[in-house]
Amino acid sequence: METFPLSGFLDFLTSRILAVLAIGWGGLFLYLGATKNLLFFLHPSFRPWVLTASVGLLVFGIREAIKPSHSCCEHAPSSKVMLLSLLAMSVIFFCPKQTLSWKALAKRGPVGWVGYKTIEQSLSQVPKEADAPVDLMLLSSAVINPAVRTLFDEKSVSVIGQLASNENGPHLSRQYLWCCAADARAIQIPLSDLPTPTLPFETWVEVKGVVEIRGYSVLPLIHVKEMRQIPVPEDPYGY
Amino acid sequence: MISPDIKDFWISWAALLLEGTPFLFLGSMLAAGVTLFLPIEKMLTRVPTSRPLRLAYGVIAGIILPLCECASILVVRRLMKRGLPFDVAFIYFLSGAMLNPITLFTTHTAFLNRHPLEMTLMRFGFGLLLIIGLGIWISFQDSSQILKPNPHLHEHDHHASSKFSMWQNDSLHDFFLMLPYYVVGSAAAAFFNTVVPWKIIAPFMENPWLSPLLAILLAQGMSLCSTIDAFVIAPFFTIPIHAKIAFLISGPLFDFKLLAMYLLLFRGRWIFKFWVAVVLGSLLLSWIQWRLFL
Repeated sequence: METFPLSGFLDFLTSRILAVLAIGWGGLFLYLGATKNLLFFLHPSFRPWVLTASVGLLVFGIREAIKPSHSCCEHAPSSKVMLLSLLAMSVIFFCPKQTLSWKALAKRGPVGWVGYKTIEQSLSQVPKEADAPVDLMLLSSAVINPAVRTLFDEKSVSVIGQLASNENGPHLSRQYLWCCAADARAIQIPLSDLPTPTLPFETWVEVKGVVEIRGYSVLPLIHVKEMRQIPVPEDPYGY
Repeated sequence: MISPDIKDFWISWAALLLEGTPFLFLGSMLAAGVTLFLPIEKMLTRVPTSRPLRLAYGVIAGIILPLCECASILVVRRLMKRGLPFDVAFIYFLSGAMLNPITLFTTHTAFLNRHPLEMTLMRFGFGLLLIIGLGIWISFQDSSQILKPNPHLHEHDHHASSKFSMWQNDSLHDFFLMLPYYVVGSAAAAFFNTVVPWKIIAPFMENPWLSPLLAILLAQGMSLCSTIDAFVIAPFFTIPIHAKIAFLISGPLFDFKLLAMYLLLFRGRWIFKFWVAVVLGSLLLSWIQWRLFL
């Protein structure tokens, strides 16, 4: 009886399922580590770890495919392992390359606008010239940092973020993450004097305007001089 | 068209999978490597026999040889397989997750503008007390009542294999053994992260008696890595400090991610008892902090 060639290949795959799964995971990590897609999920500092794991999985996976190291007893991956492994790889590979919605962030309550910049760090990052690009996190640190408040008061700055709105009116927002998208938090700086007609919410914009410092524990306000739509940045998060 | 809620859950789940799985694999490589290439037998002969010294041995090992939770559970499993007593191995795991220098450094950084040194010292001090308490409790228990009779905990006959092949084999098997548990645990954490509205919980967090319990449940539901959890809780000015301490000391010891992985090693009844012990211990210590400090 003639053997269908695919069945032989499938038999080979079945006998090398551990290798197939390892190569699959290694390939997925390598693809994400080597492309900018990883930036939608993880802090850039994780990239070396993802790439290291991909190398390990590929080396072990290829060796396992050529010469299975162990085929004893019950140690072949079970159908549960295979299914969940494939499910997890699919969840990662097909996931929309987007940030979390503002609705999801709003469920998390207050924004994380203090905590990780020291006064020295903040001061060293305040630009001297007018209309220079400023990080939204740095600007928001004026809330608790008197020196930053002094330096930013009535200063003309350029800031990138997404248009958003909450109960206090229009804001410029950006998501910040520490590890992965699951811990993203939004920083929102209020805007005033928005040009009309205004752009839809969640549009990425560059805002040039003058900062108004409103005292301790209150977020500064930006009086908008100029606002233009920009493409979604390659790296949508701040750090 | 996917609904935004499902998309948020999907993104969170994918992010948690991508965050944890590389470390799960690197942890399995390390665990297999440690047991194959280091003189474990010699180290095991130096494990003290008295309870207090065993406790100290586990705690100190966790501080000086730290690993993240996902990776260290694999190391612990491998070390137990090679003969390290359960109580020492588990105390090492708890100590490594909570008291490691990276976690303490990030805690200090996260609270830079509000009592950084005090918060770091309190996390270390109360975390240490909690681990000592749990360690004493664990050391009086019969490990056969805790560990699952696990078919995966037997040693292979590797005589015919090279050390590298054994490393490859053990690493891959450990990774794929633990992966399903992490997939399920991260899905639960992503669901919690995208569905539970903090805004509803926040007002209750201001109650000094109730807030530590809510903080503990929040930490365990969110399943954050111990190295970043302080960044998440630090900005909540309205949450009392003792509730933040409860959040910081309970999360690294028990959460959805870890629950899924504990289920591989431990009996369900004991996991429940351990969870109760972590919650009660964290509550007690946070109330002590509330009455005595800051």
